[in-house]
Amino acid sequence: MTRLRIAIHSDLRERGEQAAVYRETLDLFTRAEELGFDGAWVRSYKFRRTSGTPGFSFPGGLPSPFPFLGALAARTSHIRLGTAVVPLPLENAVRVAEDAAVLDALSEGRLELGVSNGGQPAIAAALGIGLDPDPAAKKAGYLRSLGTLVSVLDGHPVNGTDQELNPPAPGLSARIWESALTRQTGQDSAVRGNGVLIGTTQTVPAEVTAAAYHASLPDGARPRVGLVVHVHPAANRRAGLAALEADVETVYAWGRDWLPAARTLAEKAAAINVHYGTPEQIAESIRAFPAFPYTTELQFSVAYGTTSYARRLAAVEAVAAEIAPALGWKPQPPPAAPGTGGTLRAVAAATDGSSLS
Amino acid sequence: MTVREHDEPLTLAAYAILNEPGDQARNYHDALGLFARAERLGVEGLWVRQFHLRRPGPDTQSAPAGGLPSPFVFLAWLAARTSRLRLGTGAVTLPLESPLRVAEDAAVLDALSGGRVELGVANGGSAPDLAELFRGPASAGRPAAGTDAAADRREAYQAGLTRLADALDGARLSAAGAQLNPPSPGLADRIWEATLTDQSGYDTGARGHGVLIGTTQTVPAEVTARAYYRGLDRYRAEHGPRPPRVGLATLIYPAKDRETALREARAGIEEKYEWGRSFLPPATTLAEKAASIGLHYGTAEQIAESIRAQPWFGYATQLMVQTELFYASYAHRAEALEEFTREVAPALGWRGAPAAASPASEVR
Repeated sequence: MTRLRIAIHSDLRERGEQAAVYRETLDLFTRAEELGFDGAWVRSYKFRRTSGTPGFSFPGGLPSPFPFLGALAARTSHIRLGTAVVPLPLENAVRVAEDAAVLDALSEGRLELGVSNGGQPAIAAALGIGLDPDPAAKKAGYLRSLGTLVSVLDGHPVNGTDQELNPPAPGLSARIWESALTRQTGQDSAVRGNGVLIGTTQTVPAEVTAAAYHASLPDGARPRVGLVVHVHPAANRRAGLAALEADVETVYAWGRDWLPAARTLAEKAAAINVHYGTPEQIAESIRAFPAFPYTTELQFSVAYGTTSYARRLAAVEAVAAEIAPALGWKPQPPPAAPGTGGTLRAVAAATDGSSLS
Repeated sequence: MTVREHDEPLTLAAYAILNEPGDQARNYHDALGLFARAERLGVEGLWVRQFHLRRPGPDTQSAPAGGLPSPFVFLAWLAARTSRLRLGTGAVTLPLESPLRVAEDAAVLDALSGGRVELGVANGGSAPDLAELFRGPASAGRPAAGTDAAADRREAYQAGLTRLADALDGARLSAAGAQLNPPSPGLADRIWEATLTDQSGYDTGARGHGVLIGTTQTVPAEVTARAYYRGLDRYRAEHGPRPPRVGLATLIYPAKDRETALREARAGIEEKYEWGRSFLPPATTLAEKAASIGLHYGTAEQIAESIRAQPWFGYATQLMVQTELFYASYAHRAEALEEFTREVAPALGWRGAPAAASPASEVR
């Protein structure tokens, strides 16, 4: 039985000055640790655009997850620190290994290293990188890069020289997760022994990817399936949906080519994995989400439907107090951390809860 | 006593190369503790060096025994634990990086720290072998590193530096209009370059950047510094006023007298001198070797006198105080730094840190 874990997840794309968004997100994540959240994940986005070609939209976000998580590491003592995700085709695998190793050293082994075969052509163009237009060739490049990353993290000589990664990163290669959008990538990630991150921009339903992952996992391997869920607590479902309208319409319109067909606002919200209403209603909605039974870590995003930090904070508190417990989550007592602690929280019984897997 | 060549107030920074064997995580945390303490002592800034990879085994001549490959991650941790300390990379080896990735990391750190980044970069003259290792997607789109000709390397470095500065300035980076995010107002004015020669010192000044000068130079530090001021004059003629920014690495080892200092520091002095024998001023006795590697040692008064007597001292706007190589413990380093701020620096004209920055600029 695997204990269900919960994480806070943010794309740091709230409106407003970027530095303020970063600071608020650090505050929110620090609070999440106090509330017993097991992990914190940040998405990564590059560049912004203030003028130029219509339809080429860069609303901002966080391009450098490792420094951000370095700051979070300094403010927390046990929450896991996740990158969701580092797009390997846009990065040098050796530099990624170095950033990851330094963060892991500073945080005493708390990094969860999410990577992807991502990278939009427009982003790559700005970076001066030519992405291979052939998907098979791009995939092959991704796998080479992933292979380099694992090899370097494991302390093997770098690119055939007599040099090795410093600082060493013991155990970090066993904490790699891959963003998986299809049945095939779910299978492949399982065979490689990596975790999978699902639920954001699926081209097939998340449960298809997740089921393929579980089916392909080697015997005895511990499954790691992180599912992003967007939640918006409100007095009732109608009020919740009304508040979500603008965000749901925007996100659905962006992904309409490959998202499930939807006509009403409620259908669109369901298609993009948004859950709303009272905490009971949100828990019920997540429980009914087909990918939930395959999930080992629910990654809660609280950005949709509000621009208010107070509302996001309240949502995080509702997750810890009501929504996650209703789904079988129990907080785990933090390890006796030397020095950097200082969090006060009631610690519930340490017995494992469980999700279906 | 050297006449001061500028009107800037003298500032202090802690400087660490962090190239030490042993448990790296432990080293990092010990160093972070020292730097947080430096802020409480009124030290204005901090510089950390960047070392990539390491070569296992006893021979560490051409590769570090340890060190810090990712200064931005390290400094972000420190940003969350300090409120005023300037956070410097001393320096990022630019030819091994994608200039835009450096811009992103610097901009994120600047946003997290309330604008406290001092962005030091270097050409990294001995980088060609490492450049091979770092070839990959993110190195595409810039001139190839690792060519034999120094001029080609300098040209590639300058192209990368221009790209970096443009990104920080908010320039459009692609036909589609991509700009750096987060915005980094003013960060392009906080670029420094680590230099080794009079030519690179001049170029740095002419670009209006600050200059970081080590004590183990291939030319004397004052030669580089003088060239920097000449370059800065050219920048001013074209662009208007610009204060000089000249950081000088200042290696210290305090003790109750000079003989004791030499005795305690002997192993470190010998090792460092051997490492740089091919380009350091020739020396025979231990005291000569200490001078050759730029070590200032003895009582507070003797250390102050030794620094003041340096031909470069009049050019320096910041002393980058290094308490490494000779110390038995981090507690020992902290004592040395504290004594330096209490007794040595005031004798050199340091007035202490200005009033704290506004709380609004603090992370927490």
